[in-house]
Amino acid sequence: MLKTVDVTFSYTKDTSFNFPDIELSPSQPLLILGKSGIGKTTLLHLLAGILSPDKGSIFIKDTNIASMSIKKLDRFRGKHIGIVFQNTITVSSLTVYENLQARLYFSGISNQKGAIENILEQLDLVSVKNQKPNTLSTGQLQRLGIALGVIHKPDIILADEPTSSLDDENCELVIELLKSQAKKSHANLIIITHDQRIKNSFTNTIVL
Amino acid sequence: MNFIKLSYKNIIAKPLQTFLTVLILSLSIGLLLGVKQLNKVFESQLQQSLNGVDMVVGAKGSPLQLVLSAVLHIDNPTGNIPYNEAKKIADNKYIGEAIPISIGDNYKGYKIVGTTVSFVNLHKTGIATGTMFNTTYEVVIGNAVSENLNLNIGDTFSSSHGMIENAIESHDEHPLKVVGILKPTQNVIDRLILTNLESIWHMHEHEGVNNSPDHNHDNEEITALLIKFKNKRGLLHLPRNINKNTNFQAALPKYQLDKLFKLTAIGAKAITWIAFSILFVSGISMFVSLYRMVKERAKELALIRTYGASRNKLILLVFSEGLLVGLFSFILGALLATFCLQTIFSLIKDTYKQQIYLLEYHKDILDLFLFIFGIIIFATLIAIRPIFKMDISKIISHES
Repeated sequence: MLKTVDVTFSYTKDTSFNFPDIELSPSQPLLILGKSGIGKTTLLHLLAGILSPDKGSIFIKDTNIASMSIKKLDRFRGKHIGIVFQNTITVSSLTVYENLQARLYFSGISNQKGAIENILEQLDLVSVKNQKPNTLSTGQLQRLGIALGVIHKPDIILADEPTSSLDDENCELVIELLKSQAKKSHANLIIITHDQRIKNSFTNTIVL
Repeated sequence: MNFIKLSYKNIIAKPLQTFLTVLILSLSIGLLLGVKQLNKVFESQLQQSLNGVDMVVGAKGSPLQLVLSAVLHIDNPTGNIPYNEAKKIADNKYIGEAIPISIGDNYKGYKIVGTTVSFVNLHKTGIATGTMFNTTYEVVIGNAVSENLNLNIGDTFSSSHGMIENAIESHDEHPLKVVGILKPTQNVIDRLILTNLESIWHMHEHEGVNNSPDHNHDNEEITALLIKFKNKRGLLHLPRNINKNTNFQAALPKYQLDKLFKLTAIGAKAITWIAFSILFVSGISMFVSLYRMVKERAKELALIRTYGASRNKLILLVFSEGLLVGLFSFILGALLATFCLQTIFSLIKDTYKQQIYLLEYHKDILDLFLFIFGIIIFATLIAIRPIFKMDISKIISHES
């Protein structure tokens, strides 16, 4: 459940972004297409509560995150939003398993009913769960990135160019994984990309 | 998963840097603790051994030597003085107590002191078992002497002439008999053998100093008089008077020891400053390692922010990393210092037959711990500055 109204953001006076309004019903996926430099990542960061808009409102589950205090926003983001980065970011000193543990710990969520074991199984990471991220293959690392973005069952899953560095086959696989994970936690999946290949996988598309 | 675990993982992920920081930090902590304690123990041991002796009167010579030999029993005497003359000095309205001592003999390295019962009272001790020496050739021994030489009441032995053990010049014809053992004091008296003045005089009669058959001790000599003032104003006049108008020397133990401490304090101060410099360097090293953590792992910290951790939690994370390294170094340093001190103390016990205990060691440890804690907080405070300026959006969109 997501709704944005009249969101604008500017880094400097000259580079100002005016984003179209978005409204999603529960579990409805969205593809945001756009060339680079058009403010895709900025929009993603606004939706994730990493940036605050100059103007406008962003409602997630009826809460306007645009007017939240930093501290509240941190907590809200940790619980309700999951981000899948273009290149997976991890804590390098921790193993795959410990990275997932840390993800839950900092969101203030306990590892209920073996959530970590489940996600490892679903994303085929069981065999590498005790390895450090820098020993993983590109595919494994990408799947770990997805795991870190969805493990806490967020309401919104934001994916930033998840397929740009993948071949056609893996591209489709990743989209399917993201879709199925979003469905499991009844989350809105929002993919922001310039990758035209995945256009056909989504019915709901916004072009920036 | 929690802060401590994450910090621990981060620390062991960079073993070399951690090892260096821990090494210099624990070394400086060990040095600081050790030097402070040694200095304290040294001063207190000597001060304690003064036992309220305000002035020592003995033969002319070095005043420090007189104090060391007559009060602390760690040097050779400056010479002897006639007892009759010395007694006249003691007859003064400012003087409360004047205890004669005669030293110069030993048994297996333990000094034999000819004196009066007041000497025992001066050292605030008394007989543990047996009786006080009463007649000639009876001795009362300090607790350490009894323990280390396994001497018991009824045992007899022959003393040797001089301050160190030697078998050639022994007074075999006058064996001494143990009649009492003193209570332990942690004081110099523990390692002394006490007898009356007459015993010392009799033992030396064969040397021809005084060979009169009627055992008249009019011309006998003593080594020194230990003097306690009745009125502290005596401090102002008496020493100068004695030094000027008699053939004796008067020395003030407190003054002489203060002079000695001033000398030893220079060494202790130098080492303390060196230790502080090392500590300063290790403080910087800790700051650098924390700052590098904040800078190099900016992306990880930003990631943790997106996980829902507040800015304060990141600061706590940096702090706990510093604290963990600091705490580990502190424990290591304290163990190092304790081990070295105990080794030194046991060496001293072997050499000087004196048991030494740590003094207010816990307080030293606590003081230093608070200091180190302060350094960690300070290092953290500077290191976390980038966290306040952190732009999560910028950091995570610069994906490598």
